[in-house]
Amino acid sequence: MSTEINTSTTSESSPSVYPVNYTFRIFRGNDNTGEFINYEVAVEEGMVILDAILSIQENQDTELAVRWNCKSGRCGSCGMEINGMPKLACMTRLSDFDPKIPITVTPMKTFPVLKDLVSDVSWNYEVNKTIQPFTPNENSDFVYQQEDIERSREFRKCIECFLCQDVCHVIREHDKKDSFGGPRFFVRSAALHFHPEDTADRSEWLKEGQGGIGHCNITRCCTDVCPEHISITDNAIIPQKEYVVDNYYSIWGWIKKQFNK
Amino acid sequence: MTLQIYEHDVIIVGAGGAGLSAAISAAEQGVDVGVVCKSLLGKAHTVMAEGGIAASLGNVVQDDDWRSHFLDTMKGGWGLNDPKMAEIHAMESPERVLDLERWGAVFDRTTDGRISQRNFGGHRYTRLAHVGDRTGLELIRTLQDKAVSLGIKVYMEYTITEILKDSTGKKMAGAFGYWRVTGLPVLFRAKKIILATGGSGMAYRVNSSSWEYTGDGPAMALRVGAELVDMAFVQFHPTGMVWPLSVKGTLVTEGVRGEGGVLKNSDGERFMFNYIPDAYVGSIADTEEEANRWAAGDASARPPPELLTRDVVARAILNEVVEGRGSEHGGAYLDIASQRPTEFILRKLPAMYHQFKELAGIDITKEPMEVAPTCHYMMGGIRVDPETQETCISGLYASGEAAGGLHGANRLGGNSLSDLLVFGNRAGIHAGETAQKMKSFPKIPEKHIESAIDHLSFPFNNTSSGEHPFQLRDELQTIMEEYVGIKRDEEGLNKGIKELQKLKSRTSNLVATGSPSYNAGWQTCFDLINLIDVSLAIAYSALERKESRGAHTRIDFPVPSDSLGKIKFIVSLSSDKFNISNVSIPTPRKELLSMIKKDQTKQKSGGKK
Amino acid sequence: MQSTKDLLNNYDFGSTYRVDRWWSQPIGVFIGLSLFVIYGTARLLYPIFNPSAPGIEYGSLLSPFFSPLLFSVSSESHHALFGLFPTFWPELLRSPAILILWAPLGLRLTCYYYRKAYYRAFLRDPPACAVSEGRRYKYAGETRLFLFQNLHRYFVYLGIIFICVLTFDAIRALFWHAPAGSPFWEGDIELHVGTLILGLNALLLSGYTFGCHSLRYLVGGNSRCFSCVSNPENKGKDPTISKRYTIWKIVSSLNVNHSTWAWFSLFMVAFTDFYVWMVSIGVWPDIILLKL
Ligand SMILES: Cc1cc2nc3c(=O)[nH]c(=O)nc-3n(C[C@H](O)[C@H](O)[C@H](O)COP(=O)(O)OP(=O)(O)OC[C@H]3O[C@@H](n4cnc5c(N)ncnc54)[C@H](O)[C@@H]3O)c2cc1C
Ligand code: SF4
Ligand code: SF4
Ligand code: FES
Ligand code: FES
Repeated sequence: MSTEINTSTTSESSPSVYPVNYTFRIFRGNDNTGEFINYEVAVEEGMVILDAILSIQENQDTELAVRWNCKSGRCGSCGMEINGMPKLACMTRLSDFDPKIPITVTPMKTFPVLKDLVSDVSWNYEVNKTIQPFTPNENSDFVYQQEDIERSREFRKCIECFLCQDVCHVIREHDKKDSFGGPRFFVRSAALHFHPEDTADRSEWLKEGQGGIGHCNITRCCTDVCPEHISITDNAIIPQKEYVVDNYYSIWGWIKKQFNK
Repeated sequence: MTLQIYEHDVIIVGAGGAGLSAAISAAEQGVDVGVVCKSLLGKAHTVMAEGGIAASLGNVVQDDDWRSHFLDTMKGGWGLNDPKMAEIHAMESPERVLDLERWGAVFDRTTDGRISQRNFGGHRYTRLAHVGDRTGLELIRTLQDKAVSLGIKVYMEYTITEILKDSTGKKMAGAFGYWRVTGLPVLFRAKKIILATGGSGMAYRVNSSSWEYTGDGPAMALRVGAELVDMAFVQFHPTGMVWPLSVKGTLVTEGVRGEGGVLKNSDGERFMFNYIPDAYVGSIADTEEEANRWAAGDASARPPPELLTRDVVARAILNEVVEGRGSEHGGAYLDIASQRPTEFILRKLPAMYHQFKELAGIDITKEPMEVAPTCHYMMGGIRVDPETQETCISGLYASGEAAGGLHGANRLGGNSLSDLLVFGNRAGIHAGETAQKMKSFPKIPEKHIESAIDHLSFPFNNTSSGEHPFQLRDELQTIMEEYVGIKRDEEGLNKGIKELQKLKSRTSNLVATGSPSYNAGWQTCFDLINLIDVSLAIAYSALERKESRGAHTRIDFPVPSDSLGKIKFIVSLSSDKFNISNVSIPTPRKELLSMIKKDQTKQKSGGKK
Repeated sequence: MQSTKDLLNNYDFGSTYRVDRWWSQPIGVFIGLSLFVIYGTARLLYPIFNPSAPGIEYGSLLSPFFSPLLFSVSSESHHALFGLFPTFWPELLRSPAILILWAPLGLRLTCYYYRKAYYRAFLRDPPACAVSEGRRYKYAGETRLFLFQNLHRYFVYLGIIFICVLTFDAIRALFWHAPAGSPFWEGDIELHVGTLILGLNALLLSGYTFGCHSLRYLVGGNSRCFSCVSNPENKGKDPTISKRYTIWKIVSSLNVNHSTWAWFSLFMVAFTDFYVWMVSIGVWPDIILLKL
């Protein structure tokens, strides 16, 4: 009733005899003009969307642009939208799709399209620069327990696929790129904040700065699409929203601040 | 075509572990640094590394120190390692790992709160600092963030196609390439250039590499007069995925065996007990009972034969398959489910669990994995000075997988990440310091730039009847698999070289269509040219090395030769002809030499440690 | 060739390439929450128009919508703390729920889970992931109009008081027929169906409230280093000895399913109220299961 399931496409009728022909309806074009082109691919058992796209690239259309590296969900290069849902092409198995229905493949549309399935994600790298880096205590001894780092570790699993940035409606629909950091960077600031040796206070970045965490209305699409299954909203965003409350909206926090001045 | 020009004191080609380490330490020397890479920042191969970083921190086994790490590296490399590099590597890697920790990396902990370590093949002590099975991700993210905080400029999605020299033809002067997004040419002027371009796994069909691994660094260096060393040694990792076909070759970390996983054939036999090489007899458990005791943490037991070096395990699996005891899809069974509880597997190998679950539909906590050898790592590479990492071309450096020498005939698991950190750091420091002293940028003759620009458009100028880049790559992989694969012989190598030369002559007919912007076909043309050069270097070196040693197996010369064990083969290029020469390996310092001798006699007497 | 804007960046309401039933969840939430609001409003107003049979209490049972019962509308109340509503109180506002219901409603309104639910289902902001909302206004997230959401932690403090009250109500529902004027525990111990319902209600509400995100932060989530939170000397030592770590773990385990707790407890509160209402007006009997 509560947790959203990404049934973006799943069909009951996955094939049992291979190879099977699938039709891919792929966006071709750039930020100004484009079109959908249909490609047919003979699919073998176990193939993922990326395999099909690379086979199109090798055998049908060498100009088709796509990003990939690891083919095993570790590098976060191959983010795109498959039947409208942001996904990693290399981790989306074709057996989850009905071969009779064409599969729509589009680039991450929240960012400017460079070509075909490749979008310009450079904005994300700019946001990253605005976050205060890891700031340990000067005489820190770096002795801590596994339990102390489990929280930070979850956030450090992030492979920077930017699928969460793509799906976040604050960027996607409302285009708040100038005043909002996006879920990926709440994950990053949480990774730093919850490092047992970190001492920096990033509340200003979160509230007033590029973070703009107030724009997030915790509607959880970022968590739903994260291929690393990071609980972005519950574990990264909400605790940091509370951290902002500590620093800006809590009576107790306000008193403490006055004393520290 | 308009040429974009950028200027930095030090340009680093490659943003993997080696490139970023170099960038950080160069920037710390106070020079202006630029990093160029083919993919986005943080996507380099290093991100895929799983198991860990070898460093003798001694947190788990106190006896461990740099000396034993040195000995293990030399032994794993069959004595062909550059002793100076092996020494520096063993001595400096703990400090580099601690650097990472100071920059925010969160390694797994021991119960007393320090960096935990795990077992890996060929390391006598528990030595690998790790972050679950996502060590590479942690390493690259930490370095990336450090580099960003130092304000280092990163040029993402630029491919360097040529190193340019000054008018004397002896000194490096700049790097030329194109921006993948537009396909437009760019020139990087620099006082020093560090090549950290990684390996060349794409030469083989079954590999654990991405499209990036086309040997650009070694090929470009070769073409400007630098030398390649140890090229015969290509590491086939014993455990790559075999099924489904689309992920064939994708790596299964050695960490699975390090955490207790065992190899079985279709008869259910732990076959590795039949393949213990002489050099390791005595230091490896010879019964299953002892191996089980080791896995349960008994310090007096010797490690199981699954943890022999990669060359040995890879050949063993291959042999089982050839003799008809292979798994369903032609591999061996890697089984951790029967050895460890579910909760342990999920905690120690989360990414492996994820990978098999989502790509193969296999639950590794319940079922065994199917594995077979996959092309994984190039021990060989650009020949560099052990201390400064400079090549014989002044101003040109190399480090990481692109450089050669440290690993000898076979690399130990975990020794690559430490290699990146140690030698990336050294290259950066030296390049930074020397660039600091240079007043002006070296001059690049105009005509070199013009011909480089011209060269970029050649695939568009060819008629459509020319060569198809992906098809040519396919042919290359077939040749390498057949003639220059895991098992080699003179006849095959000669044939392979002939075929490769033919392929090379066909590259001038490569064709691309459309616009250069993000054009995979066009880009593959240049990658392919490099790949063929590196493949040739591998084949020539393999032909010359008439012995079997480490990762290099010659059917016609099945045993190591004493005389060849003292020399390294060097490949260079002059007017498009490959030259092979040899140099003798420098003898280690006296202290180290006697250590090696002592270690060998201890082995022979079969003493348990 | 078409314009990329039309092909990809179509921002009309509901525009998407998703092919699944993405609308089913927001519609389900919309219906569920609407029903609750309608029922809740009706029950809030009910005593005003039916002061003689307000359906608030039956014997030892008290409806959670009206608990704690400060003033009662009928003189036969066993639970009212301060008797009847004072005479100056306007007649049209004489519902005991008005005095207290704002607190649990405020908790739910500012709850991190419900925020998601109603932003999506009611404000279609967004209706579902990767589905366009149709731009209607300048979006400010929770920075302007919804800034009050930051008060959530104070509602949780109140919520915890309510948990105590409702638990007390459930315990009290074990004691029946105490003679007038003497304390309730002097009554007979009887287990009614109503007792169980009140108990289950208190349990589900506790699961919901103690799994609160703000609480999770306040009890321990705000510390960066569990092992050294209360004592810097403990740094690097086993954090499981830290009480705050243990509490954080417990709250976290409830928090994982916070949304499930939210729905079940919501349904249960309404049902408990309905049950008390029905037995009080005699639609069905409150069966006695056990008598001591
Ligand atoms: C799956 C897997 C698991 C591994 N596990 C381990 C392990 O557990 N322990 C261990 O020690 N080692 C491991 N290794 C090996 C190790 O990860 C690599 O050897 C190492 O990361 C290589 O690092 P590098 O910095 O030399 O190159 P890379 O990280 O590969 O970086 C190369 C960089 O060069 C750039 N580049 C290449 N060519 C050009 C060009 N022409 N122009 C511009 N830029 C260019 C690329 O874009 C890239 O940024 C593993 C490898 C793989 C594939
Ligand atoms: S929860 Fe917040 S950050 Fe995540 S997608 Fe929704 S609005 Fe964006
Ligand atoms: S948080 Fe998850 S979805 Fe977002 S960039 Fe990281 S891995 Fe991708
Ligand atoms: S290719 Fe690396 S995540 Fe898909
Ligand atoms: S988050 Fe739901 S009650 Fe606090």
